[in-house]
Amino acid sequence: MGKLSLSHHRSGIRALGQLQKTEKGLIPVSVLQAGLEGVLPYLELFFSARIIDLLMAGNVGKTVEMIVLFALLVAGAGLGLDGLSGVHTYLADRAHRKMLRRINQKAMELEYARMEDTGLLHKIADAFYTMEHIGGYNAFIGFYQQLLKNLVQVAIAFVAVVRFSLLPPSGAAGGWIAWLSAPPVSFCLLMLVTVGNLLLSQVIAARFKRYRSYGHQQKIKVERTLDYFADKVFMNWEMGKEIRLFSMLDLIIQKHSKALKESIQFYNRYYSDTAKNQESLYLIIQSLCTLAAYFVVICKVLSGGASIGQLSQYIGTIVLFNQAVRMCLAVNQKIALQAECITTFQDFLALETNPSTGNRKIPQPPEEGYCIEFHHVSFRYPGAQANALTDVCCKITSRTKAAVVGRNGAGKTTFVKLLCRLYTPTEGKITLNGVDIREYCDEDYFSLFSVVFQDFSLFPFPVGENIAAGENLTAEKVWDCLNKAGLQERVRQMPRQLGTNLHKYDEDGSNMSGGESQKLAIARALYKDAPLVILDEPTAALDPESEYAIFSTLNRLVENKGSVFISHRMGSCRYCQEIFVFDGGRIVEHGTHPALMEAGGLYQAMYTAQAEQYEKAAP
Amino acid sequence: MNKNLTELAFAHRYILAGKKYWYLSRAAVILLGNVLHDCMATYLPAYAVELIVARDKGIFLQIAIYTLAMSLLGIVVKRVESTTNKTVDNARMVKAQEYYIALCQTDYENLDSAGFKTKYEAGQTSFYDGFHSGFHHMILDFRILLQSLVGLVVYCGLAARVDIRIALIQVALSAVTLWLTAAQRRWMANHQEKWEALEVKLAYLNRASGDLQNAKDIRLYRLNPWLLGKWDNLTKARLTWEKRELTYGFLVKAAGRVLQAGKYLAVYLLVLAQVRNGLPVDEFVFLVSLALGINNWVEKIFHQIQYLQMNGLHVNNTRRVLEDCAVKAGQSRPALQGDGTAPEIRLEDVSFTFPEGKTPIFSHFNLTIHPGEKLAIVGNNGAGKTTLIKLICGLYRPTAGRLLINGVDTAKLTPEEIYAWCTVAFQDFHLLAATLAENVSCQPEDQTDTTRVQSCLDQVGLGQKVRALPDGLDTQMTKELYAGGVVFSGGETQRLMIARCLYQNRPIFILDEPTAALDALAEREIYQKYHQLTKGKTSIFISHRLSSTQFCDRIILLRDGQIAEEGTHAQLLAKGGAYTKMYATQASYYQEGSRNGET
Repeated sequence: MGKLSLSHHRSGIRALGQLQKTEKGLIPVSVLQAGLEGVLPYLELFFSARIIDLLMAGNVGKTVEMIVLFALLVAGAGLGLDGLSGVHTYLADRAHRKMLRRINQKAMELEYARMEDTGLLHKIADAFYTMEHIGGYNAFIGFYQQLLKNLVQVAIAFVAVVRFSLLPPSGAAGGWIAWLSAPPVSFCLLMLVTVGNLLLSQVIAARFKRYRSYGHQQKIKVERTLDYFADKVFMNWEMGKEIRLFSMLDLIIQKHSKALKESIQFYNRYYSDTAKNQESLYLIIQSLCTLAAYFVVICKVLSGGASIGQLSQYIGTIVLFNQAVRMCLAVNQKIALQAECITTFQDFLALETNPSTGNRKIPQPPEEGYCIEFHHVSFRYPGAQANALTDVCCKITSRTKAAVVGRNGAGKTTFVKLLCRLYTPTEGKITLNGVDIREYCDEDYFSLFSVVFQDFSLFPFPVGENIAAGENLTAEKVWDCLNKAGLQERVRQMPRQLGTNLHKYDEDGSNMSGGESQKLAIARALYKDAPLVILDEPTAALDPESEYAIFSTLNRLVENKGSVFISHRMGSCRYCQEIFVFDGGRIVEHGTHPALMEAGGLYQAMYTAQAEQYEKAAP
Repeated sequence: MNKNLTELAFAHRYILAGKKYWYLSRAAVILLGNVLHDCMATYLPAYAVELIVARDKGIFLQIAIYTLAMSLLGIVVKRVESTTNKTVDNARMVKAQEYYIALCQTDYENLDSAGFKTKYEAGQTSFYDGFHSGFHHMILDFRILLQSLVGLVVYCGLAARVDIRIALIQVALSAVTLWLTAAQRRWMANHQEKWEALEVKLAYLNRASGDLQNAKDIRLYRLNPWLLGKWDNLTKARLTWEKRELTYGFLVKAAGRVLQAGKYLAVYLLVLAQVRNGLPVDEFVFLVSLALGINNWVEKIFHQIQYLQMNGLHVNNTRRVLEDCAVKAGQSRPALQGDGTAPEIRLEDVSFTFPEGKTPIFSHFNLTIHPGEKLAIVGNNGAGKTTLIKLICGLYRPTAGRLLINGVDTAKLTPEEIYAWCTVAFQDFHLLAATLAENVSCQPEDQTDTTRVQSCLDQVGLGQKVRALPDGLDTQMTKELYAGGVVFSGGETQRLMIARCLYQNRPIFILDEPTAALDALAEREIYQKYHQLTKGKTSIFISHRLSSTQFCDRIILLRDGQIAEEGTHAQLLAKGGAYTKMYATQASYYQEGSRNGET
């Protein structure tokens, strides 16, 4: 059968409460609008009945009066409704955007390690997807509005039906017609019809709901697959070369056709076919209700209880009554679906931002500078079988030039992420000048580092703002950093120089090559001017000249700072004071270049592998 | 109007190909059925009144039969409508693949053109299901438009039996509303671009703030206030537009309400006049219902025209793109010309400028690569190395001059025929969410030679790793579609890409920075294998690591689209020019007592 599920309203009403706090006027306006919308159809029914009766009575003067009154009321109510509707749309949209802003803010404040939780990311992506297709907070409140409107219509109709039933027959007809039009009988009959309508509609809704929320999950999965092909394969402009040169089209089409077939089957089964049957069933119920309405009302009219003018009025009311009941159930279902998506967002917003943040302030650097020490640090990714780092002990200071080398996958980047506190150790601790870094707040700790990761991000906003990481920038300082990074000329030639937008969203925006972007990221690190500079393969995309230019610049710039340098270019690390060699998640060697070459271990093997290529080739 | 008809015709032809008569017959049934059903519903109250006034004994039976017949008609028509719409919608989804295929087969140069990309993205909308947007909606909305037109004519005819003025006034007043809303539409069309641009940026910010890729920089550089500030500015601008949009909309609606009141007045007063002339009451009820029905039809017609106009813009984009792309039927896999031995490549007086570019990248460029030669290309970023590669492998066509492979002018060949000569390992590479074997062979599984796949993987040093995987060659790559998919590290993926090239086994092998992500030991391995990997082929090697160029027979140094220096490694060092300088710079990192790199 299927019970009427109302549990989602608990979270629904909570969400409404939040909306009310976000946008003060929204709920009152929505309620008013829903009320007016509910009443309006009855206005028309009522007046048309009056007019017909007056006409039949031959009272021309009054009829004209009534007609004019009707026209004015309809226009007036309509205007009020349109005004409220406009205000509502605006407020609802604004509330929706405010909520989105809070979600964005939350996403940016969450602990980094949380962001790598694919389960969480997928949930959020799904919620955004639902939002794009069903609507967000504004649609949510729209559904509740519809519910209210239909409830108002049900209430008014109920009163009208009671009044109608109470109309006493005047004996104009006899037999069973008179019996049917007696108040108690007609009332019971109408209620029977309504209850029947309610139960049948609920059965239908429940039966098809089984497809609804499960169907929605499936739909998201199907859409995600199709989106993958659309965004990451076909419209992935960079993949175009490979698709052509490697004749990948057959393979891709085979995969895509399969996905397409599955999605068509899905849509047909869960949407078209179920909707068709649902619709037919509803139509049957509706026609039965209409028929019943006609019977009862005609009886009343024949028995003199109601006038002919009231025929349309009451039939219209009864039909509206049943329709509104059915709509309540339908909207209830929609709210249930929407509530799932909204709840995901609410839960996300309720996540604790930084459970492990302390509030000590970072002190001004003592004479010796800052010293960050790893004490037997191990780290394992959540859900991984093995440690990514094991028992790492080392010291990094703001006066050391350190290098981190090792083979691919040895744990170098993980080490660096632990150093800047993007991750927290699974075992052991990290201290800053003797104090566990967890006692400091994230913001302060982050301010110690200027980082250029291998996969850095730039944003489609003005170049100058990208470098200064904000809108308040000192143009001189920006130009200085651009100069040091070797990008000054390039930016001077841009249409709006520092004000030129990066990337694709503007006609006069600028697209930077891989090497240029890397220089930009370096300029950003320079601008921040933090005591510790971390560079992860900072010159991988640069040609020899630019690479050399960067190295010389960096050396000057990290003069008074500490630096941690990851590179596969063994030669660039040799002048570092401290070289850490990682292998399989452990530090296997460390020391200066001469010492490590003496030791003849992994470092020596790697260095020689590169150096000998230059020795052999030397004239 | 003309433009819209073109789009309508195109949409119908394109989606309903092969189903024309089927659709026409279904559409006729649906259209007439719906109009008839509507008429019956409108007449029902009047019918009841008529029977009551006539004190007809069989009133209940007649009403019952009428209602049931009406419902049956309604149900049958709705079911036919549902099935028809489903088929049309399915056709839309299937056609989307054609659009993608067109993109994959169009000239590569188009992918560099911002204009083409924007148009292509815009044209995608027709294949999606949006609010009255998409091919299927166009077909559906057009049918509803025709339906409403028929309904309008029928109702006007019925109303005109009594008083033609009723119909005329209804239509006239509705036409005024129509005109007002059309003016609003025009305003929207003129300004929509502006706020759509804002929405695009806001959508970007939504994605970006939650994107793992950006997460590190956002935290380490405290980018929250900046990005939120952008959000606020964009939202403020968008809301300002929205206020204007809604205000304009309200004014138009208000005028509509006033006109509606006018319609009611007109209808009732006119009918009143008829009643005074002796119109029976049931006809009166019917007439009023008809008048309101006319109003509904006109509103519907008007909304449908609006939807079709909006949709027409999207369909127009799609149609233009399809015309531009010139879809080729089937993908030809041309047989390799020649006997598979290493060919000679010759660029004769080649010039090349990008389609949207102003300055030529190459101007009267000449280069001959001998059969089986291993050529290295070095030069600074922006010198034209990658562009040269793309010219040689056929992705770009020379703007002037000739590219000859084994003496054959490539201008006479199709792009696929040129591709068949080359295999390229680019700097940026992409894995497909498919099995490991499929990623290496780039062919569907049933056309993949798994032995050859394994051998190629062995050659690049991935053999062990792959054998250790639980699913071996059938391992799903990337986590895009399968949570249990495998993700290779950067270095492993780079090796996989070289394996992919080896599988193809084409006579020209081009490598663009193939070891950028590899560590020192892995890098050396690749260099040592280089001769083995490129045996019997003509090979081109781009690298910034000048140490690797010694494995090549000849080196050219590109600068500003010209060959600045050329020769073997020893010859170039002897010249003491730019190459020597570059080499010395790099070697200095490895030499004792050097000034460079010192802190």
